[in-house]
Amino acid sequence: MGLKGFILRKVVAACLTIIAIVCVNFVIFRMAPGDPVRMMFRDPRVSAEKLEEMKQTFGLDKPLSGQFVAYVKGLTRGDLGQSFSHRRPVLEVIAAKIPATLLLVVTALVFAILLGVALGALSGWKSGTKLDTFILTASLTMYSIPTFALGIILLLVFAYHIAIFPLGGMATPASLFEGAELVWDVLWHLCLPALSIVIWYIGEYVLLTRSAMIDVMGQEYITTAYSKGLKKFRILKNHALRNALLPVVTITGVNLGFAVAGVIEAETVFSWPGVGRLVYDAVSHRDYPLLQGVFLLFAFSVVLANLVIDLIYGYIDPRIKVSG
Amino acid sequence: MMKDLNKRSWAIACTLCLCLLLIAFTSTAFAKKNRLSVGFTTEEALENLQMGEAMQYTEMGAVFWPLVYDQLWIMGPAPDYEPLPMIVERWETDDYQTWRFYLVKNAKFHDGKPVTAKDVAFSLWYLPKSNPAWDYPDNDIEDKKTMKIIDDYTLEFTLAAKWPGKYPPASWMPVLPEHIWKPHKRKLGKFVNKKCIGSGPYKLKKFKGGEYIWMVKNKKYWGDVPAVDEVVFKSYGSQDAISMAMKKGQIEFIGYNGAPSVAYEDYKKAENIDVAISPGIALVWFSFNLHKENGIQDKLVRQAIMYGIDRERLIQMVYLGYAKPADSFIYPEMDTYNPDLPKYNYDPEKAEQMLEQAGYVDTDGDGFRTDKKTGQKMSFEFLVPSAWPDEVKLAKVVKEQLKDIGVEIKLKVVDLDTYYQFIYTPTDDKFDLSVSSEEPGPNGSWIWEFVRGYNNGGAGWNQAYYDNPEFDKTLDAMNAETDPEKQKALTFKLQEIVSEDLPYALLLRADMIDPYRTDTFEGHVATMGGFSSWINSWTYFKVRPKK
Repeated sequence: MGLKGFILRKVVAACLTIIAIVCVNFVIFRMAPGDPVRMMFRDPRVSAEKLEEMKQTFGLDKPLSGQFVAYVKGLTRGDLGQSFSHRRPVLEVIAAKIPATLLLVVTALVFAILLGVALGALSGWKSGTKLDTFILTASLTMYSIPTFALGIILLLVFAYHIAIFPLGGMATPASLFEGAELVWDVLWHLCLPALSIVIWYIGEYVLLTRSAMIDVMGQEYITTAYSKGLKKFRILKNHALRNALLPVVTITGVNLGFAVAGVIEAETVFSWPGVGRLVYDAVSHRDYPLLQGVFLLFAFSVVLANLVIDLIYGYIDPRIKVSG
Repeated sequence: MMKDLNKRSWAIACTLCLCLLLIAFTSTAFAKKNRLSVGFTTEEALENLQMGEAMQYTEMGAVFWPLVYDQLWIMGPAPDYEPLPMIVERWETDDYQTWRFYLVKNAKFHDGKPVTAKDVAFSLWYLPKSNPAWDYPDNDIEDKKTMKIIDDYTLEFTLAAKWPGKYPPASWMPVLPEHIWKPHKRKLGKFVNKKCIGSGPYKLKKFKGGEYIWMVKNKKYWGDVPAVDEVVFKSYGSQDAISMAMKKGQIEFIGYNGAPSVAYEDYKKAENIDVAISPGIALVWFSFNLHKENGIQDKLVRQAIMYGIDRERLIQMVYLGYAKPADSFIYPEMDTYNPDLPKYNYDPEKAEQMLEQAGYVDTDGDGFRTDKKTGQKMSFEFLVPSAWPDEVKLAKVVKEQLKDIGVEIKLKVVDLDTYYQFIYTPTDDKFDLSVSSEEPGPNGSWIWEFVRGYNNGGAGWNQAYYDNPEFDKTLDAMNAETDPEKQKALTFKLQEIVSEDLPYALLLRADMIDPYRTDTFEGHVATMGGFSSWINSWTYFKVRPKK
């Protein structure tokens, strides 16, 4: 199969996945107990007329099939509907939160990948040594600490006892910072939540890279490289690590996809105003349109990230194109 | 000798200079704006400034809007809880149905426009018409035609029914500027309200949904200008973060609900922090679903359940002693509280006897009785929202206690919105009993609407599906009674009926634990519910920087 065919097949598969997700997305939230219209009213003395008016406002007066058609029609126009709880267009609500989440997760992922891959490669390279044991133990420990607990510990140590970082939020509340001052303030607030994610992801990347490295190190082409008298670092960089990176690329794609959905625990502990908190609130308020919007975005980013990874795979390992 | 004098002169001159410098620096320090920062959890934070349910029912919203908007009258501080005029000079009524309010003449909105009777009329009429409504039993104005603007500063209106008692109508209603809201009068709840222009003692400076609200004092306020320059409501990810923020001096106190009882000792030990304990404003009770066909419909079963619960132990285990038993919807410190209600003191033997007597016996020896109404094991679904951790614990303890009298409890822990939907639709039979909680406040006559019969307009708040014509008749009589003593007697009777019949079983009232910093501000005002609640804005009006 040629490159065009390969790409076409992947794109069609991605589109089908998105269509399936749109359908599941629509049905799944409507299966949850509770009437979303009733839930819009904290005061239960609501009249039938007001309930009906609210139903009409959000298109819930139509039968499910009608709601689905309206939903799909809206999607084609880029309209994700009105959020029940925010009373604003879903797209607007999500768009306001995405930058914060992207900033947090992308920053954390970049650091986690760089450090995790480097430490994992070193650990695999020095497999069986004390250094390997140390890195492996540390990674396992970091990977197994729940992010919520880790967040609280970081807060206690760095925001309370040492007091060099703030206790939460994305910027200093009630400040008039602008320009460079604001950037600096946001970066200062970013440190702890990003660190909590970095620590967790580092463990994942170290373990993954290490096991791939150990696998690669036993391959014949590494022995050949040694026998050719190549320098150790060159073998590590060009021969071993490059081949060991395939699973890392896969997991990075998936993680990037999930990144858009936010990191609920970190965003909650550090009161970071991102998509993660939005998901939590939307679930508790049974905000169908918002949930549909967030989950669609989430699914879309995962599918897109996987598509990109599939294409990168083809570039990294041409065998995949042929066999795939 | 001369040399000594010169030296002394130099020393005095230097000391004077130093003093002057010190004074200069100190005055600069005093000239710096003082800021009162108050902590909320992110769940309590306000997401938008629309005058909808978020503003009324989120903790941050309920404390925020009374600072930027004036009301006709506000609840006075403890212990009297007198109704005090806010943007009015006085009010009068002859028959408790038609009311006349006289506004102060120098009040202005934050944009400089005067506050007039038109603004008040607009707010009183359109807020209850919005969807969801800003609507309470005491603002039910019969007809728009009955609203008379006598002059710029005098408004008269007629309620659909009499509103006798200590408190005038139209409580807890913001006065909105008509010139801003008029174009949105049909859909008030949709207006984005970015500037939040009111006439209150504070003005909005900046708002970040879910993060913080920044207010500055309204220097041109017609009444007493607050001593605090700025108030900031900040949200934090958890109670732990709030605790750290307070110890670090980043907040002065907690904006709503105080601190959990487990944190009391920790705060007490902290430097520059003291802890105030106030009576709680929230009452916790059981709602029994009388619609569902099972033993709960039997009054003896409900009473036996109450005798089977060790409230003192509940209070010790769940609230670490920071709660008081409750037996009425009326707080004991109010003069309408009936002190002679049945107490249902813990008596498991009596509970068992009552169940036996009522025919609920253990027929198969499994330790649980058989429900004679269903023929099945006597087992009840106990609804509790996951968002109330103390009440979830309470439900677990109750489950164990009722096991001892042969009643099985199955916990049904759901999210808060689902919980509200379930308890307010008892006809859906989604629960047998539930933990419920509300904050009636001193002006709490509205709470009786929870008991009004389904067949007498009670659908809505009536979680128990209770229907007792005698109760409804008494309630209507109480609402219409203008003689304070007779009204009190009727309120006593309402309490007796509820305590006897037990559609709702009052359980307890958790204390409010308010940690606060002692080194920065003084003059905090504690009422039931603590320093800061929907009935208490006084702390924000009275608190001042410590000298």
